[in-house]
Amino acid sequence: MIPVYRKKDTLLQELHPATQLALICSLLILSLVAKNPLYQVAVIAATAILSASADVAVEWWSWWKLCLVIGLAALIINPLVSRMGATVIWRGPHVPVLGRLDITLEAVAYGAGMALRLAAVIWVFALLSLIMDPDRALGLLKGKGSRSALASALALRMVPTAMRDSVAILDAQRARGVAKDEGGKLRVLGSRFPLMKRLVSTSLDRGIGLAESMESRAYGSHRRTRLVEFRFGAGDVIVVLLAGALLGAGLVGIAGGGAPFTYYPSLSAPVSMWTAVFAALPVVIALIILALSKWWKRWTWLKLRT
Amino acid sequence: MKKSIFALILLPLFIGLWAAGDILDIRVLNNLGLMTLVGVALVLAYCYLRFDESGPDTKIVAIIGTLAALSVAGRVLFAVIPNVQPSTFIIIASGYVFGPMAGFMVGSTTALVSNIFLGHGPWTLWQMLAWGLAGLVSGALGRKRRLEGRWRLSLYCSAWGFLYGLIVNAYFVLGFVHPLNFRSVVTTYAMGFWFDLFHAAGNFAFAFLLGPALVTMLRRYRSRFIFESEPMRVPVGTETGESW
Repeated sequence: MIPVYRKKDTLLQELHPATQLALICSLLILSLVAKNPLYQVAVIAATAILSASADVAVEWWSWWKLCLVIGLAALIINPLVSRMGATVIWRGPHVPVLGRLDITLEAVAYGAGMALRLAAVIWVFALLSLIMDPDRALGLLKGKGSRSALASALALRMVPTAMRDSVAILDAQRARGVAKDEGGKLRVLGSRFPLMKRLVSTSLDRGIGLAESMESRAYGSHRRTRLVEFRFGAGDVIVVLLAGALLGAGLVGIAGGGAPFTYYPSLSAPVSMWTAVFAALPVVIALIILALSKWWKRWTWLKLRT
Repeated sequence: MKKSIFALILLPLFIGLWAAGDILDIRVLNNLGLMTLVGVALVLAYCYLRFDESGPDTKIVAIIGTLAALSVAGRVLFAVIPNVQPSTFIIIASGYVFGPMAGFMVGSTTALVSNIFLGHGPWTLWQMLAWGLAGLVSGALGRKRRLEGRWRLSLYCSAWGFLYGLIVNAYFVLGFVHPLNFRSVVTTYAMGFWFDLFHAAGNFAFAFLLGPALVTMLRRYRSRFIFESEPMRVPVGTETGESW
């Protein structure tokens, strides 16, 4: 289990869900598109700064194990399958399917680059999970009358209930001596199977009850009314503009060859002033948002909603 | 124009954009990892919009939410054993009994909601697609009751353990492995084989021990709560209904 969303009184968490998505998408697209590892490092640094601004830095960092495990897979697989590099650092044996295992410096560097890209992408998703309230995100769609969003929202609400039910049923089964907690994983697992049947029937009864109560309150008979409307505020406008600037400048820079980096056939990373400028951009924008989030409690105009 | 049709039209346009980017070597457009992610998102958007446009009954929505919650709870409860989880089996049973669209929704909702607890990542959309397809295909097979019997259902569920791995690992192969050829694809899938094997074995065990009972239970709920009313038959000669 990983740390999940906890409400904290910070600018990033208070933003409109669409604004949060815009910021995350700009970071995600940049980390996927950029070849230069400097970009990936910049995106990771920007994500770290943003998580600090949302007061979730510790939770954000706890994703490092996931980054390490999946990044290691990229680091191992790429040198094993690539024969494109010019600098052979190890001549290995002949392996069926893979052929001759010649490990090249360029393939190792490519693997490391991909591991870094994966880490950047995973940490961007970590930031999304920590700043976006799932209820608000689904609420945005539910307000438009989306039944699929309603199904997701119901599932989200019912998971804790199903977990509580499973604990209660398990306790009852323990009392009867049906459920086992000792004697190896397989034995414990086997004793959990009857739990599923009871859990299914209990949950379905609850689901049907919920549907009937919704119908009795005329759900779906007319356009839904809302107690709280989502509105864009001054803070949203600023963050959307910053995310747009980050994505626009990043894409123009990458498409225009602003930060070139070549892995094959031999490593080439010409450093120019533009490389530094494009790589610094995500960090600068994250620092601006950090500054905004420090002052937003005092600057009441940032909280103004249209 | 319906929104789902719009999403469907966007998909070939997007594939054309990608092909143009690849031929003309436009750096942003020829990125396989990003472009496949957007392509999968469009497919999912089409299916979600189709579901919304079909105007499903509140009871169906509640049952989808409940089954997805069960599937998520099962995934979280069994998270200690790598890839052994009842989710795939519950999704397949849901699709088999309640139809392709409901099956797709239970599958994709399971991935979306369970990753709130287990961690979102570049794999989330692919998981939504893989589990959604498991529910969709099972729903199509359920129309003619092709999976009756303990063994048939169990083998089918275990096959989806491997198919799920094949679809979900695509995010890694397409986005983070280069060059993309037979050798790299085989190596990547070989590294994940044990996880897929655990998944398939778990699915087989769940379906073998609980499959027929769960399918019977879901069918009972469907016949009790989901029904379509036939139009009232008016006796011949009293079409205006005045004599009633």
